[in-house]
Amino acid sequence: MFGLKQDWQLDEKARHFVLEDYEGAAPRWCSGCGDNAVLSAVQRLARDLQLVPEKTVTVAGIGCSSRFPHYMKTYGFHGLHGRALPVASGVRARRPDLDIFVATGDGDCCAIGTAHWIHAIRYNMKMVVMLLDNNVYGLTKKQTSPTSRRSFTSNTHPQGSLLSPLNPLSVTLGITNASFVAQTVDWNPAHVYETLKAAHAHPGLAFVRILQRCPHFMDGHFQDIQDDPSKILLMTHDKGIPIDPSLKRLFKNQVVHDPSDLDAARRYADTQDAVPIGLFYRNEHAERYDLDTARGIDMTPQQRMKAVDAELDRFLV
Amino acid sequence: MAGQRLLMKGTEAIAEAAIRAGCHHFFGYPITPQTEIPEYMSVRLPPLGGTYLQAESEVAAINMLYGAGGAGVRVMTSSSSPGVALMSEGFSYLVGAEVPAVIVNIMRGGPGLGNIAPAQGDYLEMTRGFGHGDMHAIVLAPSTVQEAVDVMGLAFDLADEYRNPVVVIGDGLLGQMMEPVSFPDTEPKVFDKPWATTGKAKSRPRNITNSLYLDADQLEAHVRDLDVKFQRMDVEQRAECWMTDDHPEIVIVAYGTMARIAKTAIRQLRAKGLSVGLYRPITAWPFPSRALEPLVEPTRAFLTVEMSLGQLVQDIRAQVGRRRPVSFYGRAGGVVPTVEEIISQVELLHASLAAA
Repeated sequence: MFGLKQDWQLDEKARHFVLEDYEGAAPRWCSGCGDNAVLSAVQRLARDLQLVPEKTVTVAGIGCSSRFPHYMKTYGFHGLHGRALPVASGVRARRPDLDIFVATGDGDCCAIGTAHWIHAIRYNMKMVVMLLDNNVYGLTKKQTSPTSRRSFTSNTHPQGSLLSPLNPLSVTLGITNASFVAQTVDWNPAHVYETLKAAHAHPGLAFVRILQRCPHFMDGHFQDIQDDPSKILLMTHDKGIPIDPSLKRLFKNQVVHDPSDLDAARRYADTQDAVPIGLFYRNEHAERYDLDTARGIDMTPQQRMKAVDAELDRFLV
Repeated sequence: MAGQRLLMKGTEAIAEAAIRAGCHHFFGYPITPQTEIPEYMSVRLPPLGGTYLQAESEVAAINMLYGAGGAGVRVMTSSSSPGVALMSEGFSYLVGAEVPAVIVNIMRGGPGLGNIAPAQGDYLEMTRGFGHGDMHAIVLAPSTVQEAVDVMGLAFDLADEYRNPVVVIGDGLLGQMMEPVSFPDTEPKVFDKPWATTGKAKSRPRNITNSLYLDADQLEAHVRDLDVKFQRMDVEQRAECWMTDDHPEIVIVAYGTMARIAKTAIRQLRAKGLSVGLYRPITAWPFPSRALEPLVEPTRAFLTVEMSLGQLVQDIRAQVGRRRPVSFYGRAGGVVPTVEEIISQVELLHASLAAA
C-alpha cells in the first residue's frame, strides 16, 4: 500500500538525530585511550550539526585509531594501512554530497602513508583529517613511530630510538596547497570539539593533529603537558579556533596568531618549548581537486552515451 | 650455545638462525604475527655491528633489501601476508637484477586485512612467481621450529648460489609456537660476489644493478638466461614422505603446521587400522614432484589438507592427473583444520574407496 520511497520521504521530514544515531559498536580501545575522547567529540559535532548519518562517512587506514569507522553509526571505510587518504579522496572525488571524516594515526599517516599524505594535502579535497598521534605503534604492541621522541625505548629500539621525531605540522605546512592545519590535545574536549567544528566548516582538506594519550604503552607520556598548562601555547585569533573563556583562564601561555600568516604558522609549528594548540593556518581559497573530479556528475546515462559516441565517431573509417 | 637445545618461539628462532647464517642486515616493518622477528633483530644486530632498520613501510623495506643485497651483503626482511604483498614489485626487481635476499612470510588470514590468525592462503601467490614478469623463486615451507632454523641457513645459501631471492613461508602457528631447537655450529658459507656494487676497482668495469632491458631481443635473452637458472633450481626439490614405505591406501598431502596436525591424525587412524601416510612438500617451489611420483601408483587416493580453500591441491592434481582421485579438505580465515576433522575426512574417503 505504501511504496518504499513514500515511507522514506515521510521518515526524512521528521528526522532529528540524537547522539545514539552516531554511536556504532562499543569501542574496543583500552580504557583511558585518547581515541575515546575524539570519537565522542566527533559524535557530538555530528549531532550538533545534524549531519545525516547515511550522508556521513568515516574513513580509516590501519592502526588503533583506525578502528574509528566501526564505532560511528555512519557509513564507514576501514581501508588499507597508510591508504586512508587515497580512499577518502576516491570517495570525495565523486560524492560532493557526503561529509567525510578521516581517522589516521602516526604510523598510518606519517610512515607508510607519507606519500599519500603529501598528495592528499595538495589535492585539498574537502574532508576532515584527524591525525591521532600517540607517538607509538599501539596495535602491534609498542614499536617506534616516526613521531616518537628521540631515545624512546620500544620493542624495535630497545636501546632508544636514534632520531628526533618527524613533526607532522611542519611537514603539512610545508606542502604546497595546504589549506587548514590545526593542533589540539585529546584531554581538552572543548578545544577538540571547536577545532573539529572549524575543520568541518573549512572548504578543503582540514588537517588536525590531535595529541593522543596511549595509557597502555605510553603511560604518562604527555603527563608533563597535562599537569602544567604553561607547557601549552594557546594560539588565539578572531579568525582562529573559538576559545571558551575558561580555556583562556586555564592556559595563561597565549599568543595571538593570525592564521592567514603561513610564515608565522611554520615558526609556531617548530616551537620546541611548548605545545602550540589552535589554528596554524587557513586558506579558504586554495585550489581544490574535488571541484574538478566532480564535473559532469549530473549527466544522464543518455548524455554520457552520447559523449562516448561523439568521441568514438572521430575514429570512423 | 651451538649444539645445545634452547626453547624458542618460531619467529625468534628464525631470526637467530638468519643471524647465524651470516645475515647481519635486516630491514622491516611491524605487522602481526611476525613482529617478534624485527624486534629480535633490533636487539641482536647492533652489538654485532649489523644493521637493523625499521623502515617506513614494506615497500621501503624491500627496496632497502634491493640496495643492501646489491651491495653484496646477506640481507633479509620478514612480514606477514598483506605486508609481503606490498613487496611484490621490489621482489620482481630483485629477481630481474639477480640480487640475492631472503624474505620470510608468516602467513595470516586474508584476503585484504583479513585477520592475524594462522593461514596458508598465500601458497599460490608465493609459488607462482611472486612478482610481475616471467619469474620464480625458491619457496621453503618448514613444518617445525627446528626445520625453520635449518631452512634459514639453506635459504641464504640458495639465494647467493642462484643470485635470486628466496622465500620462507610459515603460518602464524609456526611463528608463535615455542619448541626446543638447536643451531648449527657451522660457519656461514661465503660467496664471491664480483657483481656487487661495492666501489669500482680499476681492474674491472663498473657494476650497475639493473633490471631494465629496453631492447626486446636483449630482454628476451635475459629472461631466457633467468629461465635456465629457474630450471636448474629444480634440483633443490625437498619433501618428506612419512609412513609411506608400506604403500598406504590413502596419502594425506599437507605442508607447514598442517602437516604436523596430519601426522597426529595419521597416528590415530593407523591405531584404528586404517592405512594412511603423509607426503609433505618442504620446497613449495620447485614443487617436489620427484618424491610424489613413486607414491602415485601404490596409493588409492590422495587427500590434500590446507589452511586455505585449495591451493597446494592444484599442484597435486596437476601431477597426479586422472591416475588417482585427489580430494581436498581446507579451512580458511584463520580456522585450522583439527585432527578430528582430518580423521573424519579420511574415514569418509576410506569408506568411499571400500564401496567402489
